[in-house]
Parts: sequence; structure tokens; C-alpha cells
Amino acid sequence: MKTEKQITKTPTSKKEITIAIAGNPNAGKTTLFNVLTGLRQKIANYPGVTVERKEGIWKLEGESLQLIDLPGLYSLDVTSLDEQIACDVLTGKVPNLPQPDAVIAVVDATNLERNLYLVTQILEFRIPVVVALTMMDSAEKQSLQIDAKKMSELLQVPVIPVIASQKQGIQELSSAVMKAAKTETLPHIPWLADSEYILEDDEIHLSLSDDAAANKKIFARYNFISEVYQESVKQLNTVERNVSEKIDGFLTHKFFGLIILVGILLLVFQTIFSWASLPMDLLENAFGALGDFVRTTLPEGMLNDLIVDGIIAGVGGVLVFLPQILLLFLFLSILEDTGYMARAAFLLDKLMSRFGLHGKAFLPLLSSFACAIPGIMATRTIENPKDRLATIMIAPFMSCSARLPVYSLMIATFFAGQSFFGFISVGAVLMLAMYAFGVLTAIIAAFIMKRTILKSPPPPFVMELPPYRLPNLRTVFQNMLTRAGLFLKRAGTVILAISIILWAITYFPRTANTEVLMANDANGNPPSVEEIQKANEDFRQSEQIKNSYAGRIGHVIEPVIQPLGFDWKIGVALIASFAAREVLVSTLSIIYNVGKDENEESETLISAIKDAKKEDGTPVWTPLTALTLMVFFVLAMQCMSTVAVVRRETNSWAWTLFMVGYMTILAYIAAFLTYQGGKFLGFG
Amino acid sequence: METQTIIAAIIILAALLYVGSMLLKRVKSFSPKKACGNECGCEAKTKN
Repeated sequence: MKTEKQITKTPTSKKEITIAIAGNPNAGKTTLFNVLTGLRQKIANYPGVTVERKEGIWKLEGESLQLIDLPGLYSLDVTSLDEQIACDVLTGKVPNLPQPDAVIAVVDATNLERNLYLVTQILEFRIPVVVALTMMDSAEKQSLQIDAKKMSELLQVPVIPVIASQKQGIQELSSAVMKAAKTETLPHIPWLADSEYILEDDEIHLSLSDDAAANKKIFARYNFISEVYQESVKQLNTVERNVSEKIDGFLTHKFFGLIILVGILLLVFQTIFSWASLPMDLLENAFGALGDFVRTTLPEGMLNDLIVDGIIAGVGGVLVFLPQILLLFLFLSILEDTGYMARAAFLLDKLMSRFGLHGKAFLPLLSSFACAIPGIMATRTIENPKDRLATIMIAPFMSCSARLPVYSLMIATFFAGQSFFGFISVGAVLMLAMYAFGVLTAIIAAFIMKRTILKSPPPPFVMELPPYRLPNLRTVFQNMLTRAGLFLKRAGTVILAISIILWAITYFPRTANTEVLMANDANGNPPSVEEIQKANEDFRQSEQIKNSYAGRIGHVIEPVIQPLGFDWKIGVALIASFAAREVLVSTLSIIYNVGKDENEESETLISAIKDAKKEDGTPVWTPLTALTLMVFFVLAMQCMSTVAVVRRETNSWAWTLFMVGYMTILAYIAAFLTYQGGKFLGFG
Repeated sequence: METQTIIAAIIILAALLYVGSMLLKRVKSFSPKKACGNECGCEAKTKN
């Protein structure tokens, strides 16, 4: 290796020492930061951007050091916002943040070559570096023998093996960092110690063109890293690595990989649609029993109605999805923890990138078939903000379980018993078509967004395949509990408040009680008291809805929804369904005088829908109206909880409103084309 | 007025206030703050 002249840094008069922690994602950076700072942390954002800025105080040898946790990054090539921020911090360009006196480079011992690339780049900033070698236990399990002393000699910086969780090596690391921060000698960068490189004012330049210089630098770094690796690392047993590579070859195989993936997906679907049904039924029954209990225990009155029909029905309707959320995060955590998620993402990255989507968008989109909320939350695994935003923007197009009751009701009313070629059920084909329509629209929307408002370079085809591990049960359950806690908190705040308001607009103003006159039946028998009471109650509910604020709004929007073939009653149900999609079924039940408790496949609701007439005597519903409503439901953004989650995850009302706006407009146009096109073709 | 009506009215009012305050908070987050430190985005222009 060539050497270069020794340079000293200009002594500074400042008192406080600043240390930055840098490293690849998942290298153990945050664990080390937490151990060094304890609870003395402050989390904020870097100026003007949403990149998290984490700072802490590190008490060391009687001094208080300022510790900055840089965003996790693979290089300092400034292709992402994270890399830009890291470069700015290292060069002292961030306002009110001094340039670090030293950098702790956290290096994952199981991925040395990739991690050391970042180290060489940091050293090129001429800042003293101390390497903290993490994951030594995992490296040992992979039969990697690392000679830290030798590595230190070659890199010409201290290399300290640490196990942060057990506080091993922290003392040695502390001494090395303090020494490095106070040294006046700038680090060596032997891989650039070539006559082609010129050192001016501590900056390294090349006497070549920009592209050639960049390539030369990259090769020089990798050659150096390769040399360091070969000299300081020994692979004792290659059997385990070979087994892992063989499994990888199978799981990421173009054909078998996909078969395995489909199998796993089927299991996930099975879990969501089937396994969760029992606890969901139990929860539903529990909320029903609670409602009955309150209804019979409390005296009749407004509070009784509010608690039963507003709070218990509203919040309970959302809480029944808790088992789905728990199971989904159980699966997500297990897939992530075992290392399979990375393989699935690797497999699909190429396919998804054709439409501008990141491979990691796959699992959030899959999750959205159960519920868009966990799906959107799962986009946190996508590092690139634009890729993540594109995935969030299209996730609600996946047909979630809340749409199922609507599809089921429409299909059971107008398409039951019909078949293609005598054996293919029209209902099944329609159901599949609705799911496929959502997916297709999502792909087209992503394609357009990634080429316009969310334009960013194609995601790099670089993916870390972590070693296979048994899932850590504690981590998995902790993750599930955290998600459950967040979900319950939301149900108890935002959803509760919205349910109360929604109930109030269907409850007020109150309609005066009127009596229904009932004729004798065909045999001349007068109606029973129960029949009269039921008729009165149905009439009162229907009049109540018609004259309520929600009913009035329904009449106001009727001209807008008329081109879609919908009347004001469907309008009221549509308004109610903007709180939660499945509310459409119970709202239609009330409107068509069959009571709230009828389920969507009830013959009475089905016949009520079939028999509903407009004022001119023509039927309100036709198979085309049903199809139009289904198309509208595939595309419209009708879930307040999803809107709330999108707001939280994007940290932007603008993006949230954009999503609601473009989805609703798209839904309207598609429904309009379906209805008017159908009418034109004679299906109306 | 019945006790049930009064309690229900208070609950509805509380829900409206909660949603209103939430919306207000979001609306406020759109407008730039007059005086703030470097952690809230004010000095974004100086970054480079």
C-alpha cells in the first residue's frame, strides 16, 4: 500500500466535543446510540425535511459529548435525502450543528465488505473515525474469524468489537473515541494515495474528468476493502454459508420462488379471511350483547340511543377488525424476522420496478387486501420517501374486507344463481373482477405517479439478504402489542368522536311520531299489535332518516349522483359509508324499512332493494346500478380511519387530501362510465 | 330537559370539539411559524 504525507487538522477552540454515529441500516447503530446516551436523547427533524434527527448527550470521562445519530445509509454518494443530510452533517453544513470531531462508524461484522465502503467514504472527509464492529456473535455463528487488530492496522483507525446490548467493548470504544476526537492528526486514506489524486485544502481531487474520477475512486475503495477483508477475515466453515446460499437459490428462483411465495400468500389470506373469523365473530357478538345490555338496562332516551347505536355500534364495528390486525402483524413480523421478507422483495423487485414500484411495496399492498390501515403502516419498510408515498397512494385500491359485505349484497341481490357456460358462477367472476379491477387501477396509478409527481430514479436493484434466523418471539409479540395499542388508541379517540357525530347527523332533527294505518289482510283479519308496532317503528325510522341532516344532505347531493343511477337514499348510504364502507349495508337496511339488524344476505333486504321504486314507479335498482355501485366502492376513498392513518404516515394534509380527491374523482368517472356505458349498450 | 338528553348533548359537543380542535391543529401546521428554532424547518433555506 502506498502512503501519503501526514496532515494535521487545525486546532479548534470550541469546548464541546461532537461525535457522529454513522453506519448501514440494521448494523446496530441505534442500539449503540441508546447504550451510549441512555435516556439523554432528543428527537427532532433536520431543518426543512422529514429526516429524523436524533441527538443525545454522552457522559464520558467527566465531559458531556454531543452525540448525533446519522440516518442509516449505504454510501455517501448523495443520491438520497438521507445521504445528503449525512454529508451536510459531516461537512458541518447543518445550521447550529458543529462539524463532528470524530465519527463512530458502526460496521456489521457479517457484512464487512458492504459496511466498509461507507467507512472509506467517511475517512475521505478527513474526520477521525473509530470503527465499532457489531454483530460479532452472528459472525462467529457464520464461522467468520475476524482479526480486529489486523483490520485496525490496515485501516489505520481503531477497530473495537462491541456487543452493545451486553455493553461489551463500550469502555474500549469510549477511550478510542475520546482519543480520536482530541487528536490533531487527520486520518490516512491510503487507497487514494496515488499520484492521480491531488490534495488541496484537505479536499481530494483527481486530475481526470468527473466520470472517470468517480469510477477510479470507487474501484480504489473496493480494491482497498478487498485487501483489508482478505488480510483480516478467515472463513472457517463454508458448509453453513453454502446451505444458506442453496436456500436462497431456491426461494429466489424465478419459478419455484414464485410457487413458494404464492403458497405463503395463500396462508396469509387464509389467516386473514378464515382464521380471524372466529375471534371477529366473538367480538361482534360481545359488542351486540353489550348493546343489548345497555339498551335494556338504561331507560329509553337519547343517551341510550347514542351509546347503543352511536358509540357501541360505531367503535365496536371498527374494533372487530382487531384480530385481523394482530394476525397480519404476526405474519409480517415473522416474515421479516426470519429473513424471508427480503427474499420475497428480491424476487418481486424486478417485476414491480417495471411499474415504478419498489419490491418492498409488495407486502404492504398484500396487507391492504385485509385492511388498508396495516398495509399503509407496513410501508415504513420502504426507505425511499417517494416510493413509500406512491405505495401509500395506491394501497387503498386493494379491495379490503370492509368492501366484501357490499360486494356480497349486490351479487346476492342481482347475480345469484347465474352462471357462465353452466358452471362458472357469475357472482364469483364478478367478485374476482372487482379485486382485479382494484389491482389494475393501482398499477396504472403508480405508473403515472412515478413518472410525474413522484418522479424518482428507478429504485436500485441492491438488496440485502439477511441471514436466516428463527423469529424472536418476544420481538414478534412486542410488535403485535404495539400495533394493537396504536389501533385501540385510535379507536378510542378519532373513531369514537366520528361515530358520535355520524350518529348525531342521522338522529337530528327528530321526526314527530306518526301512526301507520294498516289494512286487514286478504282473509279480512286485522293486523296484530306486534305487526302495527313493527310497521310504526319501520315507518318512524324511514321518516327519521329522510328528515335527518344526513337525509337532507342526501337530497342535496342527489343531482350529483343521479348520473350514476343512484337516488337520494343510496346517497345517504354513500355519505354514511364515507365513515366506514360496510356502514352502507346497515344504512340501506334502515332506509328500506327492514331494520338495522338484517345482514347483507337477508332475503328481506334483498327483496326490499329489488322492490324499491322511484317516484315515477321505475325500479331504483337494476343489475347495472349494482355493478356501478360496486365499481364506485372499488375506487372511492371511503374510510376515515385510512384517511387518518395516511395523514399520520405522510405527515401531510396535502397528500392526504390529494389521495381522497383523486380516488373519489376516479371512482365517480368510472361509475359514470359504467352506468352510462351500460345504458348505452342497453343494459339499463 | 331530561338528564339523558343533557348528557348526550355534552358527549356530542365534546366529540365536535375534539374533531374541531384536531382539524384546527392540522390547519395550523400548514401556516409557517413566525419564530422557531432550527428543528422546525424555518432554516431550511440555509441548508446546502
